Amino acid sequence: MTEFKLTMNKRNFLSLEFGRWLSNSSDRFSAAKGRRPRAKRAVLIVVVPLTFMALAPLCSAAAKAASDQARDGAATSSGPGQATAIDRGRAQFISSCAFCHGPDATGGRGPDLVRSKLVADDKNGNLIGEVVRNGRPAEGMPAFTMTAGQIADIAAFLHSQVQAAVQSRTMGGGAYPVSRLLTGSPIRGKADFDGAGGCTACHSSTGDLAHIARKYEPLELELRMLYPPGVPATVTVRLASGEKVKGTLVHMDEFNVALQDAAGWYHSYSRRQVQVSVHDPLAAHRALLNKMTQDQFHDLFAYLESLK
Amino acid sequence: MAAWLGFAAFAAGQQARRSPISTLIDARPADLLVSPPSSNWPSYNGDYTGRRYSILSQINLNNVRQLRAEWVFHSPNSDSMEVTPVVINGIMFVTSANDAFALDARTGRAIWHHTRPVTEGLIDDAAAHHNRGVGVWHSRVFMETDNAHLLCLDARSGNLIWDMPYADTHKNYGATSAPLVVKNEVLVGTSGGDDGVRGFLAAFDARTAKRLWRFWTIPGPGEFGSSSWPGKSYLRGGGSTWMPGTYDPELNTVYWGTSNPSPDFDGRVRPGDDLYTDCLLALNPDTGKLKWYFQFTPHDLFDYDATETPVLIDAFYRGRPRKLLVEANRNGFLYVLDRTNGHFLSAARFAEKLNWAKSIDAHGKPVLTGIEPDAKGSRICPGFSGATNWYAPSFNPSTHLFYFMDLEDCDIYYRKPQQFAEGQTYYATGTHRVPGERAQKVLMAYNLDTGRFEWKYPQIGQGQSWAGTLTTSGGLVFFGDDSGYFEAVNAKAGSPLWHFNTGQNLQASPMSYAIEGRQYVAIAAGSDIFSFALPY
Repeated sequence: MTEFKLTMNKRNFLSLEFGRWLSNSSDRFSAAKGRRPRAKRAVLIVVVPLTFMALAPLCSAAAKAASDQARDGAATSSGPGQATAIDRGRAQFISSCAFCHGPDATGGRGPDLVRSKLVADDKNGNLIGEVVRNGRPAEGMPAFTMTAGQIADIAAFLHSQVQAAVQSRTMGGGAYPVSRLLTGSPIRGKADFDGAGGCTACHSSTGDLAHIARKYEPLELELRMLYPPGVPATVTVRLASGEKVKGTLVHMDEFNVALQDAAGWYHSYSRRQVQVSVHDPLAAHRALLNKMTQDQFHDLFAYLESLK
Repeated sequence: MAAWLGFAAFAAGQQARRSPISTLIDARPADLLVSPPSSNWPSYNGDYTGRRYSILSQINLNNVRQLRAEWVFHSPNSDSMEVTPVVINGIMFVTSANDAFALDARTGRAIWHHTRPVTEGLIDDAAAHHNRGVGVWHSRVFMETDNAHLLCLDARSGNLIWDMPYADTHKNYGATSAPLVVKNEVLVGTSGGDDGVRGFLAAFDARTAKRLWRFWTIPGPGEFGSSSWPGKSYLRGGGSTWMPGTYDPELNTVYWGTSNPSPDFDGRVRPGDDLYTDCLLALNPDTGKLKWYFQFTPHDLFDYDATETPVLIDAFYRGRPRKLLVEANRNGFLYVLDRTNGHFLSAARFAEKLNWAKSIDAHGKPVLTGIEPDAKGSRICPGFSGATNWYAPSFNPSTHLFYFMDLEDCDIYYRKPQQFAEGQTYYATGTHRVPGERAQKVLMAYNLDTGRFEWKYPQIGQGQSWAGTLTTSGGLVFFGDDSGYFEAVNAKAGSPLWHFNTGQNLQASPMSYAIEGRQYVAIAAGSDIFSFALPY
């Protein structure tokens, strides 16, 4: 499979999970009413890619209303007859399509159908059916002979997968199935952790990460790996006089740097007039993440999840 | 660390034009005595004199044309900010409704935000949730809320230290002002002067929130002045205290203005002068005892609050040095008093549209024309908004000119008896625009030496702005004009030099501060704070 850079992978990989996390964290923040810890916010702003930020309003608005439904599964809203169609469609899909598109339709050798524009635009198989019957010879997809009923079932299954993806961001605590996260190999993950991955430069499976999987729900554990929270960067500002001011980094751009000292006071400086050195304890972690592939994530997470 | 205990520079005041880079805040009572303000602007008026004269001169007659917006801070919960920012050591404190913000005064970035919802069920001014800013004492920031609570916040974090409701006996009370810190106490007043409250000024211990004293502006039964307040009418006589006063540390006197009496337009239920409404009060800040008072508009029927800033000016006046108090009053006259004893020295009519009085007599009393609100309506000038109002005046010791905003306007006043009821305004009817007449805002420069108006600067607009003035040793007067522009004019000549369209109605007064040797001028406009500086 093609090796994408992490940022791309993370988006594909996490777009399901991230929404839920965001909706949880936005609850947390609104409860805190502007009292949110500054450092934490800074970290969020740095880490959260813009596409995810755009999801936030969706989550907060629809979260409460949709969460019960989502917990019951995507099929509930469509009625019992539809559920049977989805089940039939799933079986049909697994036997005819999964070898290219993956058993959950999120892609494999062939493209991800959950995020497919064509699937999104499809009504009861009108577009899907065309592709199935004609194939896409140019892209290597053969034509399939199927009845209208079979195509309708496959379409119902695909739409249910899309629905599940949309609603997954509103799922309540613990509802996210760990099986969806545990797609990697803990053995490869351990090898990577101890070896080429470079994790042991800072972490240890018997030290800071001992029993880590007991401490966090699977989804939270994965999120903490990908979006490590809450460790603020520290900064030392050297003034023209030679004096040094140290504190937690509050803000830095091309022009200004601001910090909060140990007593809680805020200081800001024009960067042209001072020398700034930032110590970000997570810099190495982020640098590593940016080198990793999607498979490595799955493997590493599977390994972490084994540290019960 | 000790090197940037920045208040050393603050205390040094005038000589230290460079404040240190933003650093810890410890505004000791002595630091609040610095006058005129330079790098820091530690209170609503910058210093206790109320002159709004900044010693900063980096921005001056020669370069003000290059002035440009440095940053804009948008406040999420008000479209009519009335705050004057307070700046100490590079941190700016502003309020907007019941919220307070600490901003990095160099960039406008929010450092913290203390928020509480606006109060439901208030009436009149309090229901507009206006707020004019903070007072600072050591590392504490004080603000009033719309429902007349005094909040004490930690300057580092905005965290609440204490919350003292100070007018909880009557639901028509509210607050819109900025507290005034004097010595170790915080002075607060209320709104509600048109709503039948009994006005008062109260002092709270800045550390403990203990109330030290309270001065009722409407005398109780048997007290001096009580003949105006038959029965229980003293409990709803108005005389509210809705703007910060000024303070003379040498005379140990606080000067505070009071609002109109209640009900506003029907004076028959409050015979006599209606003390202490429309007054300037001179109080001992240690005890709250009244030293003297001066009443501008006895038995007011026109809503002529005397809450305009009482400006303390030391100057040669008629040949000898005097401690003066100058106030451009809402009733259309500018008064000069001796602030050591409250003696009336002179009054000058500044409003061209003025028909309620013929003149001011030798004792400072108005000679009335007899025009009053009545059932059919009478055209009275100045109108309901006054010939000037709370928007700040300023005084420049170099030009010896007193700057303030004049509003040329009239209204038709109506009168109708009204029973007081909690939860309702208490105007005893109201005013209408005069058909076909339009209002005009004029920036005035009054020469204290000659007693004449040196220049007048009429503005374009509908008379809807509420913006005040700032003057600087750069030879400038800054003010918000009547069409959403922030302007600078030559302080001596009144000639226009620079303007900037804020795109919003201006309802606040400007101030100036400096960080790292760079001067800024800031003003609230609509829902935003704008800060201006010269290009690097």
